Amino acid sequence: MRHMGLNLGGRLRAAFIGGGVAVLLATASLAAPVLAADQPSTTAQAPDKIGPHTHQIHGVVKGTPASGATTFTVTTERYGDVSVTFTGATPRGRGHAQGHARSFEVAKASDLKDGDRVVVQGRTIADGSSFIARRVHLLPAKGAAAHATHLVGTISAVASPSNGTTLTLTPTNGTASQTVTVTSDTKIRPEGKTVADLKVGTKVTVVSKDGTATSVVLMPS
Amino acid sequence: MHFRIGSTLVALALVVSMTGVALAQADDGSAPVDDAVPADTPGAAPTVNQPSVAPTLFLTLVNPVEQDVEVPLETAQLTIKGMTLPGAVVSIDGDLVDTDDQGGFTGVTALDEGANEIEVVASDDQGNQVNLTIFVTRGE
Repeated sequence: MRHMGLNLGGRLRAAFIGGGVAVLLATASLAAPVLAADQPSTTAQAPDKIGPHTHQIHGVVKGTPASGATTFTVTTERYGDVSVTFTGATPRGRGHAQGHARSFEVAKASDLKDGDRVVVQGRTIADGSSFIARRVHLLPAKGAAAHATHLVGTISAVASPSNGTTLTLTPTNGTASQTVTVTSDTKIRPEGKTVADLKVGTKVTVVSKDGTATSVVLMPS
Repeated sequence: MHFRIGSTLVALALVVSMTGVALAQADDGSAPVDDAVPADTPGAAPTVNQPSVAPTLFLTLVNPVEQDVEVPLETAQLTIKGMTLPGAVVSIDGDLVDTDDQGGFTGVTALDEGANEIEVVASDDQGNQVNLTIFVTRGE
């Protein structure tokens, strides 16, 4: 078999190039798993920085500001710890509706305490290191806040006391059984389904707010 | 002669390379592919056993995009739009909202003056749940 007419120089070059390629491929194949093993499985994500377009932040007050203090720190999910300057504001008494307060404005930094949940309106100072507050809104404590929950489970018992229908649910996630009261105010979905369709063995999602079932969704079996 | 040596080295390196890749794949915990023909079905096409992956529940806001929002005092309600896994149940502030076949949803919630904390929740039929909170300040 002829070798495509290569002369001695060509053959030497071919051997040299072939050998070089072989070394590169072998090195790459051996090094790749080692390099891959060196890579961290997760990359820590640095928090964003507040900037000129940041006009509102929310988070938890870190440390109780001293009496007369004009600064406090808010720990936020997005920006990490943010130093806030607040010289005070006249609260406007807003945030009262539907029988409970969604928020209250505070007049000065020392009205806050460690762990308070706040929404702060304002602007970022020129060097981007801290936030100048215009208004500070205090949110209800997490436990007292109106919380929405979804409970997915199978109905294991149905009772009809005078105040509505009580369902006992076996949650899909394996947690302990829970009872839910369905009243005339509770929506039942899909459209057209009624409380009569809530039978033992039916899989449902119960949407609740403040412990009251607002909706029951019958799930496909 | 030299050309043959070079070709042989390239072939050898390719074998080493392919073996390394195969070993790396075996080490990464990925499911093996079984292409064996069952003994009782002679001539049957190879069967590929691929693991079934359940779609993952997600919740994405389309409007508003940011979690911190300021609106003027005249804005008494906020329209919230988003996407989730088709078939998931979605609520806004504890009120059920309808989802379409693609998992899109739209809901409207009333705003108080001052700061409003609005919780959007999506859940699937396995009981998995994803929450997002929007902080809307109404006024100024």
